[in-house]
Amino acid sequence: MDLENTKAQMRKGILEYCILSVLSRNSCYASDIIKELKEAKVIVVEGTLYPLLTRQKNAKLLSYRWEESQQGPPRKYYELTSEGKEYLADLDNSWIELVESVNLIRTK
Amino acid sequence: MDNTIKINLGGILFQIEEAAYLLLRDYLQAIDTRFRHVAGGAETIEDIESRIAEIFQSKNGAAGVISKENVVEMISIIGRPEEFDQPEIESESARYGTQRKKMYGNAFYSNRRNNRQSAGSDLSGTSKVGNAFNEVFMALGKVLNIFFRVILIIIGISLVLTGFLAMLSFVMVFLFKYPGSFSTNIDGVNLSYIPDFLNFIVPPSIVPWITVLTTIVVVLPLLALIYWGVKMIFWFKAKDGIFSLIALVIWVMSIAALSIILFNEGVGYAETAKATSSKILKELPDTLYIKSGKSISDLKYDHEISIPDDEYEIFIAEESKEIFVRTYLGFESSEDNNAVLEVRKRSTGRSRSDALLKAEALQYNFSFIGDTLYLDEYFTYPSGTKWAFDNVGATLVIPEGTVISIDNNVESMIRQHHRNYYDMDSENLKPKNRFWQLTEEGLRYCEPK
Repeated sequence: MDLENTKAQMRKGILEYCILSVLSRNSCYASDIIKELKEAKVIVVEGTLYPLLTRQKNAKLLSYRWEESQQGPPRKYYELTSEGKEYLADLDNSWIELVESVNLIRTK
Repeated sequence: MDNTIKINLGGILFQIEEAAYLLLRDYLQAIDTRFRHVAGGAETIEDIESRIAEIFQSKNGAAGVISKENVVEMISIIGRPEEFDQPEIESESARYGTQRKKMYGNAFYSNRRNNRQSAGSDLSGTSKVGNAFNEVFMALGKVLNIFFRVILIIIGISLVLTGFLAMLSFVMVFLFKYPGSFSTNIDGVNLSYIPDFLNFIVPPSIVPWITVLTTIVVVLPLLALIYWGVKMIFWFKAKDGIFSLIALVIWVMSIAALSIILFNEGVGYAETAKATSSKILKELPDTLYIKSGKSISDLKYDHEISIPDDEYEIFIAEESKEIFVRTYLGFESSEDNNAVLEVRKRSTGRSRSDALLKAEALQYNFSFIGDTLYLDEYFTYPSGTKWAFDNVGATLVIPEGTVISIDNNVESMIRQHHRNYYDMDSENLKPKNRFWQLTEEGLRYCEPK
């Protein structure tokens, strides 16, 4: 059994939830999100984030606005839409239930 | 130091060593390959390129030269496409998305090629214009998509309505006999009794087959029409291929079976024959009265089928299993002084002799008593005989100048175009006692003798 693969699979499951959670606090530029996710060791490489952001944006969970940057190209600042907020609330509940379920199994 | 190349990345111009450029090119191509067929892939590629530009700028600034080490470091930050351990990428391949990716890809590589040739020029503006074009095309694509959907919905609604109304008409006319059963006087609408009439055309054992097969042949395409309409309106995909194929096979088989049955029955009407008989009316009176013998108004029938243009009327008595067909009367002037009633009976059959036998068997009665000629308004069939496009016509051949008196019922036996010719429908000319005289110009109103 490949431990790294299992951990990667677990990360996959929670990555979208983590992105929405980060954005629930403030609108963020992709690098800000990457920074938080890297600190939390949820992602290893930045390339993981971009397709997820595009997908969540296309699912209307996120929207973005352009802001000029002194350090490079214009930046996309992402924020949650009302649909995204509702979706995140559902995910919050699901996460709590999931943790409880897992704990229940682990501590039995 | 290697040769350097100028490239545009994320709208920013960079100078890059050739070896670094080759590495970067391969990396970007790998990313492009990874996301090319993914919904929103073009946007993802664009975001990654912007991030690469940002990383390069943070390391060297726009004025610095990007080295191979810089590219390797950037790749370690962004990761190789195979390291993007994201959840399964949707394989949605929306056409709009594909078009957009192509545009983007072309714009990007075109820019890179241009940059190699025109090093030093400011191409960041070009990139922004390219992005603006992309946005315009995206918006245009959305508008076209909406337009396409609206057209599809309109076509879908039309198909559903057409199919539904046709089906409703079919059911109402042939199942509920509407409106024939409510109003038998409306021309053409009593075709709803054709299924009942089938019993008088083909052997009874075949009637259910014809009915079922005809229903399948008519109803299946209408159901398909409704289904396609619903699919167009709601734009859903369904695994309906096998059902469509089965339905098509059933439909084709029904048509084939129906064709065989109808062809087999149709052979029975291949030949036509006419039987003519003449009756000389001896001692023609000064005024010949023509009255109806058996009249249609006295008939007890259940249904009436009429073919208005042909003035062909069939009356069906369900209980007694009898059919009656209206007979028509015409007038001609005789070349001698004899008065003759000619009766022409016409029928169809598998052969001329068969048709002739059928024609002779048609039952039509008339009598000449005193000064009155009694004509039946209809003819009928011997028991057990099927209808075979039969027709009976009577022609009264009388010397010119003969005065005749026609009653109401007999007048209805004269075909409409003859009635028009004789001015019979003109209220001003219609004589109270219905006295007419045969002249060179046909029947004309006259005073009674």
